[in-house]
Amino acid sequence: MKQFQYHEPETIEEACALLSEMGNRAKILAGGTDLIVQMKKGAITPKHVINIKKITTLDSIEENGEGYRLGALARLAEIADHPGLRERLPMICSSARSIGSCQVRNLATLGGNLCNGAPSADMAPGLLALDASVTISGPSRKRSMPVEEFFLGPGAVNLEEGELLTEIFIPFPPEGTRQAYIKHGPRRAMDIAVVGVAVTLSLEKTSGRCHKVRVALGAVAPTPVRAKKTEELIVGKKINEIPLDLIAETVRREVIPISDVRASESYRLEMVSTLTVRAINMLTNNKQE
Amino acid sequence: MDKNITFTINNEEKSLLVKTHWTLLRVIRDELRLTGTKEGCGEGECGSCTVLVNGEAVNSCLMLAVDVDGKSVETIEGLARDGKLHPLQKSFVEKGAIQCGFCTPGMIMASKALLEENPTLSEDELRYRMAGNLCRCTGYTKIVEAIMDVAEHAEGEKCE
Amino acid sequence: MLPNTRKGKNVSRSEQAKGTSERKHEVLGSSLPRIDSWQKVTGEAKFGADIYLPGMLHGKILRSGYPHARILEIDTSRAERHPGVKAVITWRDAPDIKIGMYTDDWRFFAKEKVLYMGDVVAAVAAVDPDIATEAAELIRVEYEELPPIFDPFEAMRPEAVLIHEDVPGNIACRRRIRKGDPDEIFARAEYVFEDSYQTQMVDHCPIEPHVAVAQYDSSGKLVIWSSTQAPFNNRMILSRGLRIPMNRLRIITTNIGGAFGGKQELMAEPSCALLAKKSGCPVKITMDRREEFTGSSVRHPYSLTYKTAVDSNGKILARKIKIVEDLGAYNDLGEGVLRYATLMATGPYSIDHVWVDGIGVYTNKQVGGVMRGVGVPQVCFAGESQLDMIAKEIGIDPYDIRMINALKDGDITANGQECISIGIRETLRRVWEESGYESRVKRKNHGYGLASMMYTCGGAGRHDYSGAVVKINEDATVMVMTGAPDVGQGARTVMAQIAAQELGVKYEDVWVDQPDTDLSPTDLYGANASRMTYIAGNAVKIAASEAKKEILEGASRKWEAAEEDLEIIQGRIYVKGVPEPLGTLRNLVMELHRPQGQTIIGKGSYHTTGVPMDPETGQGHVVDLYLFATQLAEVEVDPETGLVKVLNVWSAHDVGKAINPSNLEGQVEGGIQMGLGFALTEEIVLDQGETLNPSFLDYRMFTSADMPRIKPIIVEVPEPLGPFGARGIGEATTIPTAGAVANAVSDAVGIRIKELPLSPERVLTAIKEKRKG
Repeated sequence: MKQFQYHEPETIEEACALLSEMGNRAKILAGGTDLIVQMKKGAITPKHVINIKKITTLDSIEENGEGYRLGALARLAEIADHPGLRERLPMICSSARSIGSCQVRNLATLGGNLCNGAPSADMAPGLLALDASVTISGPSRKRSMPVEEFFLGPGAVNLEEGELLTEIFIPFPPEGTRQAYIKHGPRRAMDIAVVGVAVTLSLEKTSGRCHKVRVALGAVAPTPVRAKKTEELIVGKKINEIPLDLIAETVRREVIPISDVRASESYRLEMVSTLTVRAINMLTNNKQE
Repeated sequence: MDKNITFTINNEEKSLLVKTHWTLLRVIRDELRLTGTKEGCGEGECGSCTVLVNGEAVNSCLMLAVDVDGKSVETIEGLARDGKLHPLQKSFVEKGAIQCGFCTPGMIMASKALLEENPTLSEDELRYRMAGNLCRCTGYTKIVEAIMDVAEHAEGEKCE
Repeated sequence: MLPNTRKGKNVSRSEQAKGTSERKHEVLGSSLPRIDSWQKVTGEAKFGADIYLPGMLHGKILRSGYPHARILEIDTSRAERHPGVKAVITWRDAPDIKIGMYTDDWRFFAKEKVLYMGDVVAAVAAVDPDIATEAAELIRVEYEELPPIFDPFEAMRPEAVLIHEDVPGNIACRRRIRKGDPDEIFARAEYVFEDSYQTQMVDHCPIEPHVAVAQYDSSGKLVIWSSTQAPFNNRMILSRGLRIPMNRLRIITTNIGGAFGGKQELMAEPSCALLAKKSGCPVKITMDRREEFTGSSVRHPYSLTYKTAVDSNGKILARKIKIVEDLGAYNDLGEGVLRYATLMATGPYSIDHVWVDGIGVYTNKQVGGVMRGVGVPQVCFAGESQLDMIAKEIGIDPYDIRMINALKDGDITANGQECISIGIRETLRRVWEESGYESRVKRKNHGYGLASMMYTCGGAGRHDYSGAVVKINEDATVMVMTGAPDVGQGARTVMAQIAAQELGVKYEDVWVDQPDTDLSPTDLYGANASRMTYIAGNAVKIAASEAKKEILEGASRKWEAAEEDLEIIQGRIYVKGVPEPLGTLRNLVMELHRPQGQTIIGKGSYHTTGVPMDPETGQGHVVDLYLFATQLAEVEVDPETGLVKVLNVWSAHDVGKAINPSNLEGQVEGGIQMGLGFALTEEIVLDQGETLNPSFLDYRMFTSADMPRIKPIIVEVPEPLGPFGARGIGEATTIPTAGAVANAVSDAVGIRIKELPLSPERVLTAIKEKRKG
């Protein structure tokens, strides 16, 4: 690894000031599970590394009655095993659990997974499907936005110079919402998702109709995406009215996967259909994941 | 850039001047000459570099040494006490879970942390949680047997 | 320091049969704890990367920027000036000589051309590994690109550019078998099948990357510590390539973190040696994981065609096989691998008419070396896939078709050899029994697949030998000096057990170290071809028996008893049939040393008797002894995603005599992990010669979470030539796996894929095509 100037800001303000000053000569170090690998390969050679882990306010996981606030430094291991999250937002736990290994999850952070900007980021589909939002701190202001607006393209996220992702807020979905994240890969663990599918399904108690649905997909477009046309086919329908064949067709048209060393475009398209339908079936049979 | 760090390693306090771009693995091996922890890939994929930092298993090849300032580190060398093997070490030997031995320290450190956190985990869960420790020699069978054996006798012995 | 106790649950023991005075000394057949377990479990055991010498430098190798190019100029000046750099070397620093295992087509450093992207162009030694890496990047190489060839069939075309200019057609080697006349049979046979198969490039993936440390001592002698699995082989080539006599070149084998054939060749050693010479300092080079994928040897991709005739009962009448072995940039060990593939291509079956044609073809890719099974996993996948397909076509159970054709004692193999004391049928039968095959119940998308294999233990068609020395210390503890490296398979342990068994001492009293070419007798090929137990083990047994003879001569003199009436059990000397011991071995040995001044040293060597294959017909007594195995895989296929889940694998091996059952099980379990990767998930993916997945992230090995339940089954049909009847096992465990899985997938979802790996995409595509048609 090439040498660098090392900084350990202790507050968000300090971090933002450093980021503003250094601009693109600096990289944030959180868990390091992406950054250190890239730096060792020589793919990234920052002159400055800003280790934000001394900012102690950033790693909390707190419930506030409306939902969960997760600090950007909340580690995947903590998220995966968090009893409160598991009860109300189990999909977030299973997403975190699906990433890397125990050792990686003990280091890797939610913020890092998002800011890396990978289309296959496993935390993203779940957050999209739960209407999560992110808070970003900058040198002069704070701003929030839906997670959907955070991803701009492969490796590109909505952070301006001097800005730091500080918090992710996940509102509680309507009561009785069923949720599932399916990560597809050739092995049971240690793979980057070939396709990631997150679905939330909220059913009205009395009528049994779906009043809210979210379908979010990873690794099949330049960013993680919501399949909104597919969602429109489900909302308002009862479980047995959901047009699965039409969904299988429609969801394919909402993604633009590529062929790479992990899978071909055509296989990804096939999996998007198959796994979206599978996720819906799982939820309509009331199996959560 | 240089930085001074202070941490404990295997219960011994150390104060070192390190370069900020050095990984924890490099410091453990090249500076402290604790060579039981291995480098198999340098990218956090194989788990041979697993050590415990504040009791949690991490890939030391992915951590900068400066990140252990003020923390406690445990490596394979710290396990056996007064000539007595840790129950996991003993079990690995008895079950024939060691072939070339290169992945062994990582396997033991990772499973130590796992069992301390969850002494009654199932074999399926164990296999999932050990997926970050690769082995090319054993097919994992006897490694899993050795760890499950310790888990099942968790009540009996405890080695801090 | 922990006490050196090796008493496990099964200690070496003596048994006294009740009511008689029949004693037995039994060290074999026990799952004794390994000789090196303690050092490895505590992290004490030193591997190559753990060696630190005063003044040691770190080296870094610079590899080619192109798959095929002429080298116009190498400018090392900027690297040489870089602060902290002590030496930079290129072909100019090495003797101008080409070398190789079978063909002298290789140099330590590329001189005129680079032939693949892993080709070594230069190396740097610096005070710090980061500086060495930086400096390597400062070496400027000017290339003239040449048209690269990535497909062996392209390479064979008349208009193809020559990769090695003196090798026409890019064909470096050929092997043939001619037995009978298959074409004549095909013309008349009722059922003739012809199918083509393709296997992929995979890597050994030892968790320890290659490493070497080199140092010239003050007398100018070169000492190298290396993770090599073939120290004597390496010494031979290094001695030639560096022009150093063997007694001025010492290779010390470190603990080895897995090899599987990938540490057979010289890797970092030449660079380390030349950097050490130029800098005057010791130099260590550890290859990184990327280099393991791009610059170390791989398994040869194979293109295969099988033409097979059977009668309506399933008896194989003729088999005609074509093998195209993709050598990569150099012949290296490709010729040897082709030999094994050719010999074993028919599978373990009695066939009267067999023709095999194998060729090795150069391409501008990673070099094929020896990888566990050396060509036979590939031919087994093809042959066993076709056999199952044939069975299905003619309506015979896969188990029955194998039993109908399996070799028996007295049958003649494809290369004209008689089978003696073989166990293929036993392995089939035991798998059938233990798995409950007959009463197996199939669910939807669920299936079982068999595959059987034949292989050799101890090489074939090459002269091979091993020497050993057994030395008895004054306190009657035993030192075994053998050139046999322990790569993790437990060779040191097995040698200790053999020596202990032969001598009559306790296992715990025997010590075996890793080979040192200065101190150990020569063992020609190292941990290769599953030859350790058979060849090195026999040498150790002979050496131990020689030592024992000296001891018994001394005992005979001392107690005035005939040598043939004496025996040693658990370190005590007895007259046979007499309950009380005459005395301890320890006291006798002490006396022999002082005052008699007699050191007790036994020497032994063992060599193979297999002859080279006839170049025209492949016939001859080529194989010293055959190995057989059968595997049964049980799988579940997800028909919507193509994912294959392996539930169980039963694996039966004829090992002759199980010296250490736990070791054998470990070999089965590990071999299956490698075989499953070959079958389902592993592949080095190249694009125009560049490796797209040079890391464990995208080169997918089975993790603990992916593995099935494994049932190792030990079959013991004694091998007359083996030490105590034992054969080897190391590679047999990985050879049938891909065939078994392919057959199981076919059984589960009715598809037949003739290309490895059976990736989810391939499986899904095949399922969809079947639905359409």
